[in-house]
Amino acid sequence: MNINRNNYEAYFISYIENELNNTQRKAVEDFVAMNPDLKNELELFGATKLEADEKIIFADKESLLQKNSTKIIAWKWNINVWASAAILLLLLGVGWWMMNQSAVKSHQFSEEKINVKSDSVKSSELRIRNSELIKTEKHYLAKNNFAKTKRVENKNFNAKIILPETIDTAELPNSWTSRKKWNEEHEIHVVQEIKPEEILQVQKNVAEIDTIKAVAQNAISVPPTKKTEEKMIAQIPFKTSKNERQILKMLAWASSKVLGKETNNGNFDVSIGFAEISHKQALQDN
Amino acid sequence: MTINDYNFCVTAYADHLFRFIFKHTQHEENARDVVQNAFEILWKKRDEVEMEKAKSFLFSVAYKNKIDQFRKQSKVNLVDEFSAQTKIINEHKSGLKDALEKALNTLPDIQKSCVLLRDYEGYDYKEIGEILNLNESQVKVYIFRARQSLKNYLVSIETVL
Repeated sequence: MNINRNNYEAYFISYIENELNNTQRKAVEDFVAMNPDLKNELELFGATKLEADEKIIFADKESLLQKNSTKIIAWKWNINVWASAAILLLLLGVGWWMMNQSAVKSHQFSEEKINVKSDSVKSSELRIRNSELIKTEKHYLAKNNFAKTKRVENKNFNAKIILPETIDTAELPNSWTSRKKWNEEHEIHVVQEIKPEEILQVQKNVAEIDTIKAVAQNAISVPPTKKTEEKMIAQIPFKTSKNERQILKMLAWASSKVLGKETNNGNFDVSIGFAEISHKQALQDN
Repeated sequence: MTINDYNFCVTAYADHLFRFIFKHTQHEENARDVVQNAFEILWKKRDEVEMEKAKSFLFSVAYKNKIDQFRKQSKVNLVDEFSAQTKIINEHKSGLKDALEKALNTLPDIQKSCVLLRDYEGYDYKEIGEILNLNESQVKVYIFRARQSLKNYLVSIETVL
C-alpha cells in the first residue's frame, strides 16, 4: 500500500467507508500523522457520512398493512361458487326447457305439415325377402302416430315407412333422452338403442347384409300409392311383439346402414334412420 | 412470503423507503405514492419475492419505477408543501449537518442514491448495485465521486464561515 499526497483521497474515502483492513487503516493513520495538514480533510470525508433522519417517517403505515382476509376470501369464494352453481342450474334448466320445447315444436311442426300437406306424405317400402323367420307385414306410420303390424302367412316381409318429408334431422332432438321423448310423443315405438350383436343376430335370421341394404336402398325410392297411404292412416296403434321388434331392429339397422348413419357407440337410432330416409326421399323427389 | 412477512416489511421498511425516496423527491406526497406503489407491487409478487430479498426488492422497485419520473421535478423546491399531518419535522438545521443536506441535493441522482443506500441502509457495494442495476465498480466510483463532492462542498462552506 503506497499512500502519498497524490492518491490519499482514495485511501481516505476507503478509510471512512470501512473498506480497509487493519493494516491498511494503520497505514492511513500513519500517513495522516506524518501529514497533519491533511487531518482536517480526513475529518471532512468522515463528515460526508450521512445519518438517517429518524424523524422522517411514513406516517400512515396502517394503510399499507394487509389484513388477514382468509375468512373474507373464503366467504367470497363461497359466494362465487354458489353464484356459479346457481347460474349452472339455471342454464341447465333453460337448456332442458329449450330441448323440450324443441321436441314439442318438432312434433307440432311435423303434424302441421302432415295435415296441410297430406299429399306430400311419402312412403318407403322396404321389402326384405328370403326370411324364414319373419312373416310379418309391418306398417309404420309416423304421420298420425299410428303404426300397425300385420302378420302375414307368406315368407315375404313388407315394411312400409311413411314419414313426412318435412322432417329434417336438424329438428330431431339431439340427446337420447329427448329423442326418446320425441318418439314417445309421436308414438314411434322403436328400438332406440340396438347393439350391434342384436342387429347381427336379427340380420343372421333375416338376410345377408348386402341383401338388406340393397332392398332398403331400393325401397326408399319407391313412392307410396294413394291406396297404400289411406290404408296406413287407418292402421291401429302400433303394438310390438318379438318378431315385430326384430323387424324394427332390422329396419333401424337397414335404414341406418343404407344411409351410413351409425352412432358413435356402434348403436343405431331408428328415429334418425327414418328421418334420414325421409330427407333423402325428399331430395330425390325434388 | 406470508401476509405476516409482508406486514413485517411494512413495519420495518416503510420509513426507510419513504426516507430514501423523500431525499430524492423532496416532495412528501410523491414520496408517499412511490412507497405505496412499491408495497402494492410487493404484495402482488409476494409469492415470488423471498423474505430476505424483500427490502432490496422494495428499494429497487421504488427506484426503477418511480425515481425517474420525479427526477424531472427534483429541481422544484416543494418543501413548502409539507402537510400539517406529516410527522416530518423540518427542524432548523445549522452548521455542518445543514451544509451536508444542501450538498447532498447538489449530487446527481445516481450518486445520491448510492450514498443514501450506503449510509442510510448500510448496503454494501454489491447490494447497491443490485438495487440500482449497476455493477460493483460503478457503485464504488459513484460513491467515491459523491464523497469528493460532499467534502468539497463542506470545504467551501468552511472557507466561507
